Amino acid sequence: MLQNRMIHQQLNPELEYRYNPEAEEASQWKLKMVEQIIPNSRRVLSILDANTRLMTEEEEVTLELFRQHVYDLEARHIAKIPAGAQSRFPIKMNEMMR
Amino acid sequence: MARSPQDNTNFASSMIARMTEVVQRVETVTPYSFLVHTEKFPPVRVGVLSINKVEASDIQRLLDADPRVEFIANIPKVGVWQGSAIHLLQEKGVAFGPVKHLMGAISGRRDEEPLNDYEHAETKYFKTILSQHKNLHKLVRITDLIYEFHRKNGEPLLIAGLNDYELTGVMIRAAVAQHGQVSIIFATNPNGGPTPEAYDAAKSMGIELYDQRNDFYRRLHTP
Repeated sequence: MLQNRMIHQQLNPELEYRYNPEAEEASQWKLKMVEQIIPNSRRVLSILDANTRLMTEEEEVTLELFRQHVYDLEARHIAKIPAGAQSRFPIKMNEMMR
Repeated sequence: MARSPQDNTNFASSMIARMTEVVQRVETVTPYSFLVHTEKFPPVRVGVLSINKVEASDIQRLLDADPRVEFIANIPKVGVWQGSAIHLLQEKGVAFGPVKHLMGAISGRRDEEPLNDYEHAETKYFKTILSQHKNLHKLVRITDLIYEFHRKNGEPLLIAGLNDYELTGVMIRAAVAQHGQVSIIFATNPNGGPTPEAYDAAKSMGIELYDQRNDFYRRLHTP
């Protein structure tokens, strides 16, 4: 999760480079999304799925929101399926992973 | 009932006053303008409008009231700046934009230079790309969104750049409704792109929609 957070901080698509159609950061973001963020997220999902018995009901909801976020990322960046408005990373995941 | 110039100035200045991390205080200087006092840099003189379509005559009226403004902010988020207004602003050396851009200009200030030269990054990048194209003869601003791109080898093109991460058909229709018809839209966000519905909407309006920059650059060469 820390690795994902660091990549997000440095390259996320909300940064000012988004206004530059020739921004090289965009290629880096897309590469790191496929090579690091999505695989890391998949690993996190596996770990959390194996430990749902330790979760509160609210944490299980957060897990499902995170799962939909990961699926949307895969649809956009791997399957290249235009999926419309995407779900955002649930902020409560940060607390849950502490 | 329409708000008075003083009400508009009070409204805009109150929004700027909320930027307490950089702004010490705001001071009204005319019914059309106010000063923004910051800790680090000299005060910024801001003019305020609240008009859906800003014309040159609106700019002139404001400059008659306060010729020393560095930045003119327009309150409506979807306000359109007409080409004649932009031309006059450039001639007078005054920056412009919605209040959100004024906030960005103030919080992003890194030196003592006045804000006259401020230009939002979206405009700066897109204008540079068009200005440096090899086939450009002359570039004319029609609105703050639309450029008339006069080419060396063909008819002029009306071009707009839209930067939404997920550019939808609704966004394209809204842009055309506000700014007028264009011949080409370039989706400028390097991470995002248009939805299939956006392509359908553009096609139905006779607009060519480009997502890949090389396709767009090539199109500017094609007579």
